[in-house]
Amino acid sequence: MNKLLALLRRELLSLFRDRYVIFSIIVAPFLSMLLIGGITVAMLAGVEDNGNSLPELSLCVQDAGDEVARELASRLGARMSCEGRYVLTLREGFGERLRTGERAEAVVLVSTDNPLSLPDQTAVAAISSALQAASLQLAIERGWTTPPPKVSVELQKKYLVKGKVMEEGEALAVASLQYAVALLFLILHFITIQVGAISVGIDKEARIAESVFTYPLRRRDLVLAKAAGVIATSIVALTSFTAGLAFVYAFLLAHVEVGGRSAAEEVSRILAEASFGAPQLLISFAAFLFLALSSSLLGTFFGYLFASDIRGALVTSSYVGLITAAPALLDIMLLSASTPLFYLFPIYPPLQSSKLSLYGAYGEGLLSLLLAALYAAVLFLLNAWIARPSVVLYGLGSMLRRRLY
Amino acid sequence: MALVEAKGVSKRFGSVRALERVSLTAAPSRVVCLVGPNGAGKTTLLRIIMGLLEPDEGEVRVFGRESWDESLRSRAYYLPQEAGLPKGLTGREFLSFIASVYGRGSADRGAELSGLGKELDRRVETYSVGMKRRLLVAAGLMVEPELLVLDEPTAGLDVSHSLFLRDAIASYAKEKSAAVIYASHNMLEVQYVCDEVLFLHKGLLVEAGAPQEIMEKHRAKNLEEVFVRVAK
Repeated sequence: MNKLLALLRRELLSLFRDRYVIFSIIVAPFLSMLLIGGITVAMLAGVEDNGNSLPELSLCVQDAGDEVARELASRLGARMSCEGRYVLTLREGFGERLRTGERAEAVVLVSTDNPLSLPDQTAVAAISSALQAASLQLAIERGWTTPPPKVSVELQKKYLVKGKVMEEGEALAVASLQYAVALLFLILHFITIQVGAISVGIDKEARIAESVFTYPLRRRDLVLAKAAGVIATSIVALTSFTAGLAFVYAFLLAHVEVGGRSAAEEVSRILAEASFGAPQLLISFAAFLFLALSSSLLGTFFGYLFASDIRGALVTSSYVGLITAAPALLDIMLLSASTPLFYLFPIYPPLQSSKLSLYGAYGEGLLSLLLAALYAAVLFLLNAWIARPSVVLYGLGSMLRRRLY
Repeated sequence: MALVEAKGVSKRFGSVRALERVSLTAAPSRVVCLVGPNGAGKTTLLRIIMGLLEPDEGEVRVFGRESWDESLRSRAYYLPQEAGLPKGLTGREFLSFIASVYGRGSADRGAELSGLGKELDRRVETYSVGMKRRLLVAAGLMVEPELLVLDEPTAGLDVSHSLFLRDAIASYAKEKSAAVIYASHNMLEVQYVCDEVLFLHKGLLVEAGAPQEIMEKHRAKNLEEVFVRVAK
């Protein structure tokens, strides 16, 4: 029994005195909850904004003399207009039909850039319920007792992307490509950030870093060479990923039918509908390179700070990768949420750049690309500042002391 | 003129005293050895000399300049304790890398100095500890630095390879008029290779001088006896 207890004590001491274990069981779950919490808040905001309180709604009445329609507009808090993101159009004779118990027809026109947007779908459901409820309330107040009012709401979508109206097929094709790009960027972000941190972890673990800092090399050259090496691995990863994807597509194209058409025809249709061509490919590739650079520098930065060996590099990069991938995760989850805070995440500007170019908004796409370049430059300077012997040899604590070597 | 001049160097890590007012001078053609038990402060002093660590007090001048001046690095070579080699490279590729970084020397010259022969075409991760040390020391000698700073260069080596390396280092200092600072636990080696010995104990410089002088002063037959006495 004593031996078992001694063994147990040794296990517990080893585990609870290991900083990476402590990080994994205390800090990482907390950080993960921040991420999951952020996503949940974004989801709830999407649902609640449109469920409990209506989104900003415009009400378009086809019959100008329809007093009932105007009353409904006032109860729904809608402005009388036929322009806006959500436009509720009450058909000719809506009020009269409501009064006589006939089916009154309305149309919700949503101007959206994403046919699959979850908040848009919940918003339409909320508008429909609110219209039904307001109609019923009005019928009760005015004594239209029989039969109860029937309101049917038809959903129409207008794909308005950066001022350009798209056909549904085109919008769906662009959205499909966007998700593919977000997924690709997410995977590459994870791989690159991990390789970046591991390359520093190896140097520290094998005690190479100490020697390297005494070689006649400039610190910025060290950082640049490491980033370039990591990017090279990213490009290999991209190639491998593309080859895997091509294999899967080749299999699908040969064996699978989509909607009565061969998968090959469907893929060609998506690419043609999205007008996917050389400009988008070029901008997306440039965005990929900047993402690879930023992710690699992010990996090395946190590697210098926290990874004293390969295990530390894996732990650090996994969580940093997860947290910094949040905007891409939201995109993939169809939330299409976006806040200025997302610009704090290095994955966001390149992702935006690629996305905007898919919309055909090349100017804005290039602007995001510029921002991605700026991000990479800032991360490079941070790396050059942190990649110093005192931090590598004595850790983060040395930064708190007087002068950094 | 001294190539390295450290005066009154002190360093603490939290409550631990690593060095307390230690001074050292290294001149051309001379081998200065640092000896002392584990935790005596040898590695800390070497790191300060190489500009990897900042002293809390005191002054360190290397080639007449501040030790962290990056322009000095091409004139010095440092072999840290338990230094590793970059994985994936062969021994010869590592020598070429060092020659390129320093802008002088060649892999052939390094190969000759290392005595590793055909082993140099194997990847370094397959090397034994001793082979790694030989390669690292050879890389240093290959680029002919004016200052060679070695932290236990023969640790993990068998007797014949230790002899080979210490001979190479001692003759290098004389032939190339280089200063060598050499930390070691091996008293026999220190007695043989060093012109001056500094005994460190718990961060303090407790004895310094030529090996023969120190032995005479302590009436000891060898430096091991001196070591045992000063480490008490």
